[in-house]
Amino acid sequence: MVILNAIELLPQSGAKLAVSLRLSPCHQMFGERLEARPEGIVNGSWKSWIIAATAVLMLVGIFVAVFNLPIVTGDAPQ
Amino acid sequence: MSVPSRASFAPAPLNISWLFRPTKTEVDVAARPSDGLVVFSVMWGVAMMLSAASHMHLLGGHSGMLLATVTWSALIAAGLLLMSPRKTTLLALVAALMIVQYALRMPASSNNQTIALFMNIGLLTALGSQALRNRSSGGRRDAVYEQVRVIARALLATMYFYGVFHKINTGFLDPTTSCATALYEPLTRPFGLDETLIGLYGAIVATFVVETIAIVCLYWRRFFWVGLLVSLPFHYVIPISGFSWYMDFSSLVFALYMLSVPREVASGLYSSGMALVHRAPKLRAGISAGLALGAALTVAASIVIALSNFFPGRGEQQLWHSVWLLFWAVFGGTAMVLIVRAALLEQPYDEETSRISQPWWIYAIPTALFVSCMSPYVGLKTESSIAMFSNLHTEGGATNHLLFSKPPYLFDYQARAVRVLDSSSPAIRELAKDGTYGLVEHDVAIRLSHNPKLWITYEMNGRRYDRVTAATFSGRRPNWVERKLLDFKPIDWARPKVCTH
Repeated sequence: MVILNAIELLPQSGAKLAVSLRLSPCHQMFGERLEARPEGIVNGSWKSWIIAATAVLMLVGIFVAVFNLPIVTGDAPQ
Repeated sequence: MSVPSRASFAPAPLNISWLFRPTKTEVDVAARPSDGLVVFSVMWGVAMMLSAASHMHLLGGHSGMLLATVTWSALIAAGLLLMSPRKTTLLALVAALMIVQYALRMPASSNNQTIALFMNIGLLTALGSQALRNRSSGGRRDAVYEQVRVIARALLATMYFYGVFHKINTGFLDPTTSCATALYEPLTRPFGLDETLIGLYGAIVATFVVETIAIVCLYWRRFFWVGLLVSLPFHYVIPISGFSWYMDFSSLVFALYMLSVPREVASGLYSSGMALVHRAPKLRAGISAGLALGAALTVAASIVIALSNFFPGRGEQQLWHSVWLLFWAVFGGTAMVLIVRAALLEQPYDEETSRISQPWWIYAIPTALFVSCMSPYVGLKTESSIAMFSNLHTEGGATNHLLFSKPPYLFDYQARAVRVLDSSSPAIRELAKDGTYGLVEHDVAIRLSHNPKLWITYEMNGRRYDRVTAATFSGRRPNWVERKLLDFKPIDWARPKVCTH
């Protein structure tokens, strides 16, 4: 059973509201964790290179996909 | 207390730095634990849509109106789930329709559709059991999320285990016949790397390495992101080879990963998705997703139709496959980037300090799949056992698997294997002309029973059977249970064994 300690309404600036569901300490959600390090991933770090590489892979994948389309190759898919 | 379904967020500027730094909008989106189920539902909707779309002949009514109706219903419901991933009833409907479709098609050869069957059974069982407990809808979704996470991760582990185990055979390890090279070549041909020896052997080794890392990291929380980084690109590129309809398989794996990732990663994906949706504040989330889906398919179809002017004479199946392949190249790539981003933003992950105890049936579902996939070695079915594209041979009392001198049969279906010599069917005669085409006797009986005019000449255990028809067939005729549960690949008696399904 997931233990729910409290549900809090956190007023934000302007008209925005955020509802935070606070769980047992081992399950902090995305926003709470990132508030602790709002800088995100440092540019030039290994994480940034991996994300960039993944994005490049997507672009290469789209390029290669066009060449491998069955309508282009004429191959009947297995 | 209920969570607001929507908050008014100011959209953040869209630039490349978003890849590395979360926007304030994302940080402000507060996720429930079960919002990982929302993320999963989006990907599951895509996976089931691709699975339904893979059956072009079913959609066209070639197997009867009942199957056509169920398949079209599943396709539409999956699309609706993509647009409304919070709707638990839609998730249940998609699961139910896919189970019915699978049951009507049994025996089903597709391995990924068999894995999906087990996941759909798990989804329906979890949803049903929680509905009976009469919790609030939010509480139900939280509990369902925790239950299906266990099932999804175990199904992935089973898939990767057999993805390695079945491939430990002489056929897969030979670059001239390996299915790894059959996929490697079309992926690298545009770059002129398709015939390099290092590349060919590298593809074989990479298959083992990737799948081993994937299974280890599934249960090693600290390095879960490593398995993710290795697996997602692997599964993203496989359909792009165009070798077969792999899009439903890859999207299935992506979806199962959505349930297997640490909860904070899933909530990060949810937040990212919500932040993207809020860029169009005048549209409801479901309409935005529907427009995006419709636009993607329209663009893909337009490109394919334009290309058909340069490549005339292509068949309908090639056109259909091309549209969905392009769709996957964009959607799968986008999903891959977002998942990797979320995984790295949240890394290092918190350790699990408490475990939620689950009912016994949660573990029974993936265990059933695991046991089922041992079938090739015990003499049962060779299809639908996660042995796809593995070059594995276990028929006729012999095997090319390196860990067995001969298969440990418990049943004799595969021992009763025939070498086809001739047939009234032109297709079978063509396959049999070089003497390497075979079937298990069960399969011969099935084929003859479907066509009273068909005859097959074959050899089994040193004895020749000439022009056998359904009327003159003297072998074992399968009963209803055997017909529904057992499916066998055609046998390739050539050695080394070349890559087939």
